[in-house]
Parts: sequence; C-alpha cells; structure tokens
Amino acid sequence: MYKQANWNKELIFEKSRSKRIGYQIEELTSEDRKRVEKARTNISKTILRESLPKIPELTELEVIRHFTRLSQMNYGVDSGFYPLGSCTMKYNPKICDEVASLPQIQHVHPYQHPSTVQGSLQIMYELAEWLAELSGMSKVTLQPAAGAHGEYTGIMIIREYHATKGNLDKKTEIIVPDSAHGTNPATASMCGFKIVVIPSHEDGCVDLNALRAAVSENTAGVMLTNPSTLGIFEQNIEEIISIIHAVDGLAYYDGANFNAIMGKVRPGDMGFDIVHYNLHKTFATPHGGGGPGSGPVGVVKHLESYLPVPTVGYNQEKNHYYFEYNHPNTIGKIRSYFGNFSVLVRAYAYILRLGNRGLAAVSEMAVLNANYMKKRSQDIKGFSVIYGKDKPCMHEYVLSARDLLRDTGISGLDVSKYLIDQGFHPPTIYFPLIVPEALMIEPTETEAKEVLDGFIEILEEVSDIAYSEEKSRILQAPINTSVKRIDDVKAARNPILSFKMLEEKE
Amino acid sequence: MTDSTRFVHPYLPQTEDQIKDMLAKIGVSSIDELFNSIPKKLRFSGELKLPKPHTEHQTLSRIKDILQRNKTVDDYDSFLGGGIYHHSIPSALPALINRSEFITSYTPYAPEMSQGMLQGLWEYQSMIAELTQLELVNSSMYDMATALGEAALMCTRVTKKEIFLVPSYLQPERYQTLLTYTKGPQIKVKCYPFDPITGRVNIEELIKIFDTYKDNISGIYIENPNFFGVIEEEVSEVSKIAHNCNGLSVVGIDPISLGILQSPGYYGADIAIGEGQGLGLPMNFGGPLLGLFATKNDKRLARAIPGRIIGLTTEKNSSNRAFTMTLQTREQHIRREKATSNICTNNALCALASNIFLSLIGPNGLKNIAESSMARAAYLAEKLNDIDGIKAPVFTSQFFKEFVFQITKRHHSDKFDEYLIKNGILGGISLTPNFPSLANSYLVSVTELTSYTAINKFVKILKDYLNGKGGN
Repeated sequence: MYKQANWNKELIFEKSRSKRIGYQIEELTSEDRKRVEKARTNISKTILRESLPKIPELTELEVIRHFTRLSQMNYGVDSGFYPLGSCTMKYNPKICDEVASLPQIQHVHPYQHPSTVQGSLQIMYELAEWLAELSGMSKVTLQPAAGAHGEYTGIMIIREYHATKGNLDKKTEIIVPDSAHGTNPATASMCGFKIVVIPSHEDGCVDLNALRAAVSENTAGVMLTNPSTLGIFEQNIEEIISIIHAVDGLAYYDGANFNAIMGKVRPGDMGFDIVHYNLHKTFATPHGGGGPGSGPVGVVKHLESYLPVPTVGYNQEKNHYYFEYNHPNTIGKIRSYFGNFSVLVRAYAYILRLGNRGLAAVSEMAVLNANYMKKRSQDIKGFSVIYGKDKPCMHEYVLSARDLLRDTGISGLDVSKYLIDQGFHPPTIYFPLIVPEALMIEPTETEAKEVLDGFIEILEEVSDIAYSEEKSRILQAPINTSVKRIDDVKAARNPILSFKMLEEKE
Repeated sequence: MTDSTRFVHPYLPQTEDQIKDMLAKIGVSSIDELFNSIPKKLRFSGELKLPKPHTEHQTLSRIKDILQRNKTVDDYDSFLGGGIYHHSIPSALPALINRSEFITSYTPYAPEMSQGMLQGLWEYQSMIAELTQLELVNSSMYDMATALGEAALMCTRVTKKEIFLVPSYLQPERYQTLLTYTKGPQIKVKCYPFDPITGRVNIEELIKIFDTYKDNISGIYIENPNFFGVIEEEVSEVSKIAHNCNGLSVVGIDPISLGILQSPGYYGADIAIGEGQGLGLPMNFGGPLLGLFATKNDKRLARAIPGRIIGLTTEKNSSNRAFTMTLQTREQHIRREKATSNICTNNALCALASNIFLSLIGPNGLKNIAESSMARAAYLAEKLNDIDGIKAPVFTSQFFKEFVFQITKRHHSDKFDEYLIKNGILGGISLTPNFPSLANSYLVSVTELTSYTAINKFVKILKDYLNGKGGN
C-alpha cells in the first residue's frame, strides 16, 4: 500500500541555531582582511550591509536531513506512474544524468575561447542536426529554456518575418484553437499579437469553416499541436496550413505532443514552418519539479536567417566547430548564452541510446499504451471519451468523468485525489477546457502493461465506490500523503509567501 | 509480427505476448493500424538520418571521446566572469538535488504528493526575500537576462507607460535579450551613460534624460555591482528619480555581493532581479541558470508579477501546514492571453539548489565568500597595476569581485588570446567589441576558488607577454 512520509513541516529557518555552519571556505588571511577593510572604506556607508542577512545556520547533516525528508514528501517518475497528460512523464535514464555530471560538461564557462569548447559545440551541432531531421526542419536553435520560451522564439520569428516584409501593421493576429495550452495565447500576446480563438469541430479537430471565417489578411500565423491536446491527429492538417499560407501566414507547431510521431510523420512534411521540441518531455530529460527544461526551435529553410544568434556551425575541412552570428534577420537574443547545456547533453545521450529505430519504437509503444488504456477506461461506468470515442488516439487521450459527476456527485478532481491515495500521480485534470471533468491521460512508452492495468483497476474501484454508498472514501482522499486536501482559498486570500511574511503575521 | 515493435530495449517494457493482448483488447491487428489517422501521403517512410542505437557503454564512450576537446576550469586557470562565476558548490548539494523524488517530478500540480518540492521552493522564496529585503519572490525565471525582460514588461503593466531606462554598460547579451522582450509590447528602451572615470552611472545625465521623458518612464534599471564589477553608490538616488515620475525602480544584483552590500529593498527598489547561478549551480557552459525575481509586497505589484509563486496555507480541515501554488490567476493556464507572462516550466530545481546552497553556507559563509572573492580580486588588481603597460583597475570606483584592466602598450589582441590559452589561462573578456571607448580593456573575475598560485601565474604571464615574450 502507498503511504508517503509525513514529516512535520518545520521550516529550515525554524531549525536554525546561531553560529552553526554547514560549509567552510578557505579562511581569509590577514592580508585579505586588510584588503577587504580598505575596500570597505572606499564604499559609501549607505550601500554597505550593516547586519548579516537572516538566512538559516545549520550543520551539513541537518541540511542533508531536512532536504532528504522533503524529498520523501515528493513524488517523481522514479516513485511511480505519472500519467500527467501533455507532460510526457517518461522514465529519465540515469546514463543521461551521469553524462551531465561530467566535469567537462559542468566546469566550462560560456565565454571560453571556442578552441577550448569544441566538445560542447560538437554536441550542440549534432543535437541540432538530429532534431531537425526528426521534424523535417532545416535548422534548429537550442537556446530556448523551456517549451513556452520556444513558443516565444517561434512567434517572434513570425513577427520578424512580417516586419522585414513591411507587413507588421496589418499582420496583427495569431490564430489559436480553443483546445490549446494556455502558453500559446499567452505567448502570442507577449509578442504583441491579438489572439483569435477558433472553436473545435465536434470531432475535436480544427473546424475548417471556423478557420476560414477567422483567417484574413490580418492573420500572421497559427499555433497548432498535432496530435491535438485531445490526442487526435488533425487529418486536414495540409488544408489547414494551406489556408494559412494563402494569406502569407506562418504555421507554428507546438511540440508538446511530439512523443506520438517520431519516425511516423514529420511536422515539416505536414507543411509547418516552425517547430518547438520539449526536451524534458519527448527526450526524457528530468523535469526537476518545474524545470529546467529546454525548448529548441526548428525552422524551414527560408526562415533560417531569423533564428536567434548564435547557432553552431561546423567547418569539416578544419574539423572545427564555431558560433555563427551571421543571421541577417535574427530576432536577436532571447536569453543569455547558448541554451540549457546540461539539459541538451542529456537529450543527446538519450537519442544515442534509442537511435533511429528506437525513437520510432518509442512513439509506437507510447501510442499502443494510450490506446490500450483508452479502450479499457472508457468501458468503466461513469467514464467516457467524448472526442474520438471510436477512433484510435495517439499518445494520450482525454477521459471525462462527466457522467460520474452527474450520477454520483464524484468529480474529476475527486477521482484524481483517490488515485493519489493509491500511489499514482493523477492525470492532468480540467484540461483541455472543452472536455467536462477532463482527465487527460498520457501513459508514455516506458510503463509496463502491469502498471497500466493497476491504474485501470483503481479507476474501476473509484467507479464501484462512487456508485455505492461509501463515497466518503473518495471524498476524504488523499489520506496517504504528507498532507490531506489543501486550503487553496486561504492561500490566495491570505498570502504567506515567505518566512518574512510569516513572521510578520505571527 | 510485421511491425518494428520488437525493438528490445531497457526503456520499453511490453513483451511480445503483452503487445498481442493489448492489440486484441484495442481491436486492431497491428500497431501500425493505430497510426491510420495520419494521411498516407504524409507518413514518413524513409529511415531517419540519426545514429544507430547505442548501448550505455557506447553512449558514454562516444560522449567522453567528444569531450576530450573541452578544457575545463580545472584544466586551466580561469578569470572569466561577466555573469557566470566559478563559486563553491558544497558536495552535499548535488547529493540532495539529484535525489530522484525531486529531479524526476513535474511542476507540483498535485500538491498533496509534492509537498517536498513546494516547501523547498517556498523556502527559496524566503531566502531571496531575506537577501533582497523584498517580500514577494517568484519561484524562478530562466536567467537574469529574461528576468530583466520580464521586469521591463512588468513596469509597463503596472505604470501603463512605455519608456524603460537602462544604463549603457549592460552585459551585451542581457541588453539584447531586453530589446527582444520589449519589442512585442512596443516598450522603448533608452540608455543613460556611465561616467568613463568612475565606471558608475552618470546621475546628471540620467536626470537630463529623465527630464526629457519623465511623463512616459515606466521604470529605471541599475545594476549593483555593475557589468564592470563596480559598486554603484547612488542607487537610492536612482530609485528616487524613478519614483519621482511614478515609475518603478528595478535593481539587478549578484546575490553573492549581498554578503557585503546592502539589500535592494533598503534603497528603494520595487523590483530586484539577479543571476542566481553563483548560488550553487555549475557553470554548465552557460545553462541552466537561475533568474531571481523579487518585488515589494504591494497589491499593484503582486497582481503584475510573472511566474509561479508558492504559498503557505493549511489543510482544509485542520491547521496543519501545507504548501501550494498560489496567486495563479495571473498565470497562463488560467488567464491565457491576459496572463502576466507565458512562463510555465521555469528553473525550479535550480531554485531548490540555491535554497540548499544558502542553507549550507549560512549568513557567515555568504559574507566569507563575498569577502574572499573581493580580497583576491583586489590583490590581482594591485599586481596587474604594478606591470608596466597595464592599468588596473581602469575605473576609480571600488569594485567587488570583477574589474576592468587595460593594456596600455600596443599589442595584437588576437595573439593575446592565443598566448593566454597556450599558457593555460582562460580569461579576460575583451570589452572592445561592445564598448569601443574601452579599447584594449578586459573584464576579469576572481572568486574564493581562485588560488593565489593561479593569480600569481596570471600576473607573470601577462608580464612576460608585455615584455615581448608573447611575440606581440
């Protein structure tokens, strides 16, 4: 049975004892002290710190124990099944972490002379080539720090494309489907565009009539993911993109769902102009509880000159890798330096481990697992699949607890809490917004059938309980975690966001 | 089976029998049939031009082989800084941060089973609040450059004005990122100059620019220490100038410097940003980093801050402590196009790392690291200045752990770089390309990890070079 550790929630600040130390550096010599004193006299008193900051004082063991206990109150892919839809929580191979911990990766400064970082540059060059091949794009930048940052890069490229043509005055709108992830409209808005939302067709795909009605000479581009957030492949994708291209709009591919299509179909072949990848999803780099991620962006040939600077080039004759700054239409810099390198190197190792055949097998097994779960879970009383009920899904599907709520009062949220109690991370809930009581399930390829069956059994159990009189077992859940249901309303109404604020309240 | 499904691999668990069972349950005869929704003519039929599958051993060998062409700061003596620094990383830190319950978790969307990460991030917010003396801290941005971009956007959201003033000494990549971020909302970035003698911002010039634009100024940015390593003294004056036009005061910091220097909250900053890499993150060739972002706890600012924020609350039916993501109505998953930022995945693990780092070093450790770096940098400057043909530091104002030196003798800068590398030295960022007024000038950085042996060697190599041994 699942039972999470439940240590008391004593704060690191509350464990502090004056004068304890957890780490030592080489002591300052008397010469050092003299130099510090001399420097201090050169600095205006108004800018010198009068007292030390009140950060905690603990021994090394106390720190180790505090954070070890915190880790025991956390749940990762290594702890158990994590079918969080659209997040692709697959197993993160340890070899990739081992590679990322090498000193030749970690102990390298970004401003070192290129002759001293040929290894790093080679890894970046090859990774970018491989990613381009996988999506059918011409060139890839590895700089974006996360998926949304990749979206930002892509939409800025769309902006710059229209700007260089002198069309920015009229190219003011980005089209986004109503099932899109929130980052899509937020990104387009940050880049200065108006958002035009188009409703989904009853089959869950883009409504072509709605799209035609929305497209105009003001259309700068469209943001789509294919398969969609419903796990359905847009069969009309070529037509959708030709409608956009007809008004000189560009088509952006959100790579959140790339795990479904490797070696099967490429966004470039569908007609997309710009693609982002989430290395922390498809390419198995650990998500770290909210990042760092990595969101490389690929573009077709005619958009290469818009990529952020620099990209990595290779001179075969001299076997020399170099930074290429010559992108005449570049959108500029989107961050400092060259990308989340230790994430990039993990993805590089992952691609090597699977290779060309293996990546295709990844997508095949991810799709198999999702379809198996879809078939079994939609047969459970109270659950249904609203969009694409009778057709195979891709790597994920959206289960609805609408009937369960109507019949028994048990909501999708309640179901998710019950799953937690049985040791499963719940699916993404209440997204996409167009599915009532949505449970978005993405098993990934790395989970064994036994695990999938175990999860389905719990869904069956929830249904049995909900339709019986013993609902309190669901409504009380979770009880096996380090906290029970949390008062979110209090958190928002009475925000306590730091120890300083807590002290002021107490 | 005709499918390529029997690709046997440790990351792919389904056995042949299981695959058969699953296909039967689904009601299809092959895995390929599951992809029938993809129009035939779009299907990729060739072979991907990617490497063949590698075993773990092959993977490691190939990467180690490639990495032989990297030199590290262990191989060479490094004096590189400019935003990324080689500071101490206690061994306890990677041991904790690599615990798989942390590293293999997603954003804490299921808070009941993610209390560890949530508490760790809340403590991070608390640490940064204490260092900056600004109460409201988000749980990280990608890096300082994007934090600056987001700060400029926030200033306009709050003030509805569109001119953002920045000093002309900004680190070039940070400045260029700011220019990109401000394009969409059409915010105008204007530079105010620095004094070529002191290396600090020129307040009189700032006031002139302020007088020209004051009705439209959304915020004024200053860095402390600045890109030249110089400690800015008139920071509270700059804050006052910003407030005089109802703009916001934004300060960029190196958190390590706060072991010596006053917190930005004390001198009137509304927003503090910074690069948190020095707080326990390896340099990693420039990423991942940690964008610090803190603001005053003021309703107007709290509504406008970008990024994730963790709150302390209780369980619904008890007074037991619990942590959860909060103030989410600002964020993209709720507000969509009206969100304060598009940021979703941030750099949470880096934030947790810096919480662990600060917990280990404590207040005295922070002070020691700051003072040791400062003392060693001062030593290097003294020794360099003794060399005929070098002026160190170039600027008269006190510096922290970095400073600018100038080679006053005629020399060939390409050869200079080569000479340093040949002699096992990484360093000196040439300022000439971005700051034409600083010809033949280099930014050097020293930390508590820079040994006196390394410093003396660097000094000797420079002396030899200027004595003609470098063939200049």
